[in-house]
Amino acid sequence: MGSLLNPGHKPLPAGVTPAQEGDESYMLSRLADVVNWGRKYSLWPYPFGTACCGIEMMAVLGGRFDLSRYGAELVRFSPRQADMMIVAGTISIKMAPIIKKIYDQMAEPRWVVSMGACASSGGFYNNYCTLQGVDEVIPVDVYVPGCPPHPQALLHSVMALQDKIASGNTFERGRKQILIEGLADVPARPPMVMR
Amino acid sequence: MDFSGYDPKSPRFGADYLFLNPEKIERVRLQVRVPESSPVIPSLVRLYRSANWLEREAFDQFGIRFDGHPDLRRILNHVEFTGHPLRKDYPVDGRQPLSRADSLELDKGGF
Repeated sequence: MGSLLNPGHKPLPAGVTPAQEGDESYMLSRLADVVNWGRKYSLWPYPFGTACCGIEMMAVLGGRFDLSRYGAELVRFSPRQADMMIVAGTISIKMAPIIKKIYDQMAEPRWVVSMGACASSGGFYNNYCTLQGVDEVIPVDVYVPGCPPHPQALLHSVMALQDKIASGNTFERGRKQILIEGLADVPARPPMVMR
Repeated sequence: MDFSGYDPKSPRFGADYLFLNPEKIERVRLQVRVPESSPVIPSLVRLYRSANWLEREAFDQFGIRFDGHPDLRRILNHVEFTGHPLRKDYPVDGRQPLSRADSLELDKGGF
């Protein structure tokens, strides 16, 4: 029993008549919801792996912890073709203008996942050559702690990014900064001098 | 050939070369000490091509100059970096701002 549109293995809520073959059926939604649904389930990652977190990112893109289950299957190693940049690894100060240039080449909408301790805050490299967090030069959407983060943590971060995309304003240029309560009295770090 | 520089008390700079004969598996270690007033060591680039980048790293991190090196410039730190960070009197977290990327063109020597 059941048709193609309703195979019949789940009971329908009361008052809902099952659709029959030949009926026209449609869904109502908002354009923003549909566009966000399409964007979040078709993220094209740009793996910017520089250090050990790159190995864990390869594990996430592999078979056991499969990132393509979440729609992020097509890794594109060009910023022109990708929309989610995963910064996996330590960024040195020498690398900072290069990653800024690559981020600028990505078309909007674009998101950045800062994977690991080094990309988020410099990690344990508080020295003369390491950028103390990639957010000194590019805006970051999701930070993943860990050294390296477990692949499940990176999958969780992609899911959190999908939640952020779903709740975001689709047609707004730029990015809304979310201020966390209680950090208002922390002085801002001086940003890198970039031109 | 392997090379590392260091910064002991006196004389100020030392260089440690390790040569390997791959056929006989023999190793020779050579230690060179230079004072701070004139930290100059003759370059080994004509004998060992791999000494090119090794000596550039020693120059970048310690300031040891190599006599006869074809292209002695910074290799690890960025172009606007002043000072030599692995010296004992340089602060570990002495970051210096950078305002431009250096050129991504290949080196002229092709090395």
